[in-house]
Amino acid sequence: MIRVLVVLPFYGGSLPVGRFCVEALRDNGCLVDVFEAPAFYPAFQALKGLKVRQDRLDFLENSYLRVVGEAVLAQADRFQPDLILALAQAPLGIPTLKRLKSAGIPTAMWFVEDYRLFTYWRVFAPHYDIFAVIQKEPFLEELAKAGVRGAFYLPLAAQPSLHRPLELTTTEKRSFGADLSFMGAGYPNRRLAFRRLTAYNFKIWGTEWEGEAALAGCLQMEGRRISPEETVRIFNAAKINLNLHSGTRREEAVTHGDFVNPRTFEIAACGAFQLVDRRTLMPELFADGELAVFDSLEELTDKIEHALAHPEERAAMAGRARERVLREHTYAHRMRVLLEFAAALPGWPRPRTDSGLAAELANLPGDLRNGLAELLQSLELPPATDFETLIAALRSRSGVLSPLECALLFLDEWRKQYRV
Amino acid sequence: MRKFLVLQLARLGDLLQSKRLVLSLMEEGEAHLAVDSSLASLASVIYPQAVIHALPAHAGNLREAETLILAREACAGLVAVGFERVYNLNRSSLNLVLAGLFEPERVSGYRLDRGQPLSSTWSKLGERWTRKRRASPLNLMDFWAFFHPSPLPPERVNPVPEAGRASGQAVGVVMAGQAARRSLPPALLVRILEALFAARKGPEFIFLGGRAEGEIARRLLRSLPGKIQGKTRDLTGRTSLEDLPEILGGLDLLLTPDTGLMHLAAHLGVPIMAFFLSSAWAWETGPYGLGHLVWQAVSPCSPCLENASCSQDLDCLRGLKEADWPGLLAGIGFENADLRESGGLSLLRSGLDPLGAVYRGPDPEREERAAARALLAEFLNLAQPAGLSIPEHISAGLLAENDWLLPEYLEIL
Repeated sequence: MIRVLVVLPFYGGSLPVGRFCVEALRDNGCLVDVFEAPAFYPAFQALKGLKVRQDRLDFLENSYLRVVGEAVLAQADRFQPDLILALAQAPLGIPTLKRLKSAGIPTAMWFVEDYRLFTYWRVFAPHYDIFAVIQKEPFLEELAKAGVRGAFYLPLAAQPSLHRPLELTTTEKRSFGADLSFMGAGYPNRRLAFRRLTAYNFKIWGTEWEGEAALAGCLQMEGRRISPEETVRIFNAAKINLNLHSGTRREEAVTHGDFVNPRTFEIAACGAFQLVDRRTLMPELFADGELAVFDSLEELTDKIEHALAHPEERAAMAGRARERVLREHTYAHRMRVLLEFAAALPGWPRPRTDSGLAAELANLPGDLRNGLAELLQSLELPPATDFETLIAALRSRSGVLSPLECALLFLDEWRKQYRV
Repeated sequence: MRKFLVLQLARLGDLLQSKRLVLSLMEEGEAHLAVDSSLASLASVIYPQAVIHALPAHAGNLREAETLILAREACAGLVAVGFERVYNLNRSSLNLVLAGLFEPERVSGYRLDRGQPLSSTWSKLGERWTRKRRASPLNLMDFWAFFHPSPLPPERVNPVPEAGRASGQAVGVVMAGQAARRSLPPALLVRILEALFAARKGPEFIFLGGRAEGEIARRLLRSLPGKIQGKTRDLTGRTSLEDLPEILGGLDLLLTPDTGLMHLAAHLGVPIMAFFLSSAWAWETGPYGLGHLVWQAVSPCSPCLENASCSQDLDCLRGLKEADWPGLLAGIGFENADLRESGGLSLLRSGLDPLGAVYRGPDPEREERAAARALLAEFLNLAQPAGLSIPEHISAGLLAENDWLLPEYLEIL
């Protein structure tokens, strides 16, 4: 069983993606452990409250990041993963990556960011064995020039266990429902585009909309951060979900960029209807008739009118989009591709010693055998799991041990003394 | 009834050195001990009032499935008792795993908290002073006892060796220590036995040891003069662990380089003359009680790591080899031994103070040890020796910042 340690970022947009990867890797039969970087973030933030000189703050932040890097190394040492998957902004500095390399643990990053905006990839990308990105050329070429060997295109996706059609209550329909709905941050291009839509029954959800008086009446929940669960309700409740990819230039509302954002897959997986701006990488992900696409603000307005007038067309298109996502664009699909890519690394995964203990434990007395089967099930491990994997899964678990769990760990320690 | 568990999966000596803690718990309720299966029946003899739980910790001959079955059974038994408090005395992986059966808040010593091994502040203090073993401030028996907030007074732990018994006629001789370097070379042991035979006017010697020591015993016997051979019984390889309390209990004196049998003798109130070489250090694991004698090697390299090769040409044996044994043993009595140091060898006599065991006699680290004991007495809210100042390097060496910086460490035990 492949072991993957997922290193989450402190916070931000790639954090939920990281959590979806954890679930998707498990769906792919991996044993997964998680480095919970968000738990380390409050202390990091507290440093910013010191009001000290910038160089002192830099020193303190770097020192803290070194500690966090050491924590990742310690967890990797305990879990002995076959692969470390870091999401963009994961707290893995170059010294940590170097030490993982010398320990023979391959590292992968899923850089779920726009490389033109987040240019720091140049510094660390060469230190990863695998560097998955959501854009193609010229980014892949740039990566090759920077000496990155394991780069490949891995578009975003949806997580069907979360992103799914929901039966909403009347209250939920009232709270989240709207003719037009947008869920996302207040980037300049969105502010510009949405001003002309205020005459509609239009609700805007998300952060960073401050100072936009024209949209103040549309903004919901005072612009607070919206949870993934609430987001799914918003998608399900809207007649039309607007999906305008972010842009930093105020004068350019529709950016015609390349990558397809997660919202596209998520709305589709919910079986909800969306109007999305055209992207150059969209055709290979969705066919005509699966998404309603616009190229300009004028076209957006036209298509809003059309969609509002044709609910049956909306439902049909949304249904097709959902089918496509479930067929090809889930995080489980993406993680399968990632694992296939990893399998091409020389000697991957490193062979582990199999104690052959599983065979002996299969001959245990009935009650113990049943207990073992139940334990494997509770750990979401298959019945034929080898002993070493079972022990690694037990060690990743928190909480007071049951007698059987304790006895298995006891046996593992005993074996280290007398058998290994 | 309140119920307490002591997790002690180590060897015989450790089982006996848990005694002060176990007795302290017995004063408050029912004490349970989790021990290695090989020691379970002896543990029942040593602690007849305690409930013993056997675990296959050191049963290397078992099959894996058998180990799992036995361990699961034992774990289920432990969980079923409903312990108020669990005392996990060792940091070994086996001990830590067992501690994981209980909520970490109920475990003193070494615990497993959400899968993370953690040491209590008191455990950490112990770990710190073992970095400088030579100045070790506390006997292991007392270190473990102070996991309890108010352990039994030290004088109630082991019986006082009977006055006059030490001059008696049945002398047990333990053939070997736990490691070869702790044992006395046969030629040296011959000299000591001859001197003791003369000083005691012909006592009976009883050779003790396992089957592995049989050959040493036979060679030793052949090297002894006929008059001594005639008064010697060789029991090596002929006794089981369970026989030992009765055999040792019948002795008037035990000569030993082995600490396991030494602690059992101390438990029974048998006077002891111990030889502490190599890694053995009386101030850590010396005999507990009043009036036992220890020949302690105090060469600058003592105590060493016995699994590291010796670069000092076994200097710790020098004092023993050079000693005038007939002269030393001629007048020796347990009340009036001439406590002195010669050739890197100190003669020590065990005593007790409010903290626990002390060893009177030439101590190469007397001042540092005394200061550290005073610091520990203060830490444990016991009376301090009057007028003793504690140098900063000692307080800073024992009390680390995270002892007082983190609220979770206020729970010291």
